[in-house]
Amino acid sequence: MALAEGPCASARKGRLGHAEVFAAIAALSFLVARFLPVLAFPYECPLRALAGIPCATCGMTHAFVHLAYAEVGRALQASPLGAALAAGAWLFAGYDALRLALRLPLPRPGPRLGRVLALVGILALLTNWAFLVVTHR
Amino acid sequence: MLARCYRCQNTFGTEVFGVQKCPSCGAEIYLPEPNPPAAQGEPTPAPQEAVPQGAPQPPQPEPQAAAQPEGAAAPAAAAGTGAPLPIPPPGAGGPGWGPPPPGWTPPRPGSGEAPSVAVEPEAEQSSPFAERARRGFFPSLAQTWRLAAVEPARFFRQVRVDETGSALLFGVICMTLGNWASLVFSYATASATRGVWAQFAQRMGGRFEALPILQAMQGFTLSSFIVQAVVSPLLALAGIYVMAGIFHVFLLMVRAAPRRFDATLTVAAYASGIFLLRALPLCGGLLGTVWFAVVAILGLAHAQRCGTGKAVFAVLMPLVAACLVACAAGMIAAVVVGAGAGNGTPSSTGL
Repeated sequence: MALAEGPCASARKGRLGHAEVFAAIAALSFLVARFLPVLAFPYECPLRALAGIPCATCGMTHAFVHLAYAEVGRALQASPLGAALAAGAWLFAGYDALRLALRLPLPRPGPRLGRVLALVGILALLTNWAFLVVTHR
Repeated sequence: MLARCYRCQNTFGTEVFGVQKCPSCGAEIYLPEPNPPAAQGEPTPAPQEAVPQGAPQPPQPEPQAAAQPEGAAAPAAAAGTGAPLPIPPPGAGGPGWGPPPPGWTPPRPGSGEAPSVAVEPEAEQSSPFAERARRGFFPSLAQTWRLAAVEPARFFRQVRVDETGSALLFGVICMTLGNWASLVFSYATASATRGVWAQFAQRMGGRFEALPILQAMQGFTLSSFIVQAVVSPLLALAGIYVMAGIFHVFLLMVRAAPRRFDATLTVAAYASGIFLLRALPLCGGLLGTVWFAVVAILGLAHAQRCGTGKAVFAVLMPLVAACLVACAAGMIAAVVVGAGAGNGTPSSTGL
């Protein structure tokens, strides 16, 4: 696999860039959630095991797997942010594949939009965590 | 005259200035002319500090040239003239990673021995691992690991951030080797570990739930060992990207990513080389995690030029936020549960 030397260089050389790597990770997550028995693995969150409190990412595996089987309600119940993240990641993977096929440029959000999105993401993570702690105790 | 290569620190004789190759290591270096040709018929002074081969060498010029551990080239002939040196052209090479030669001592501050540009440290250069084709794979891997682990501030301040492919390859190799060693150790000691956990759970008298751990250890078979070993490089690559993404999100929040995602990814990848320490049994994982955090903080501070405070925020804030929110949510849940219990108490007691 030819890894990119930066977004600009990759765009010029037509090689894999960071966006494509993230898209590949997202696509891989769908394949794993859909075709591998990840829920059969006997793993318990260390924070939950020690303190009885779910961590911020608890339930995400269940959310990914349920959404991969189109069980939207169960995915949202397991972790709302996990379900949203899975949907967003898989949509991004599909979009990036389409963008590559059509040779469209990668839209780049400005720094202000990037900061806003980062803040929204952090707030969503914290809200999701509070939801998990309150509902799963 | 004599010049010293910035990269291999070997001296060599040359009769010309400008871009040339080091006869020892082949690096392209730039030897600036001490006094550029004067315009309009002014007499061109001879290089005062030029050191002809065979002639007795004055004591200062060569150390002054080597006195630029981070400088552009090694202008032995230019030292001491006081004239501003021209900026080396692109491709003229950067400062070397190697230590100064034996016996070299830095010039005294304010002694006037070194030209002002000799202290310019900001030239970027490829990491040793990015030059593995010339330096050799394992020597460059070892040198890069040492620089990233022991001298992270200097390394990440100078390393080029547009060579993310080499950085990722370095991180994936180190993480994979560490994971493989850890897997072998876990597989070899799985039976003993199961016994220890079972005994621990028994002594705790049911206060500790060891069943998930025991089930996980039970499932640690040869087939799962092979699967984990095979997917380790892929997981390492994904892990580095995800880690860099998380760091970058927090950097964006405090406007601390002027050099964009490439710099964050470079730091995450080279810093992930620390996880080679997972090869150490028992303590390797914890030691590697703490060391990684330190290297990542220093690396982000210098690679993104954002300062240590913002780098600390980006690296540690996810953990701190996790603790704070868990505590707050736990308190809210306790209050909710307690209120529910309180509502029921009077009716049950008849008060």
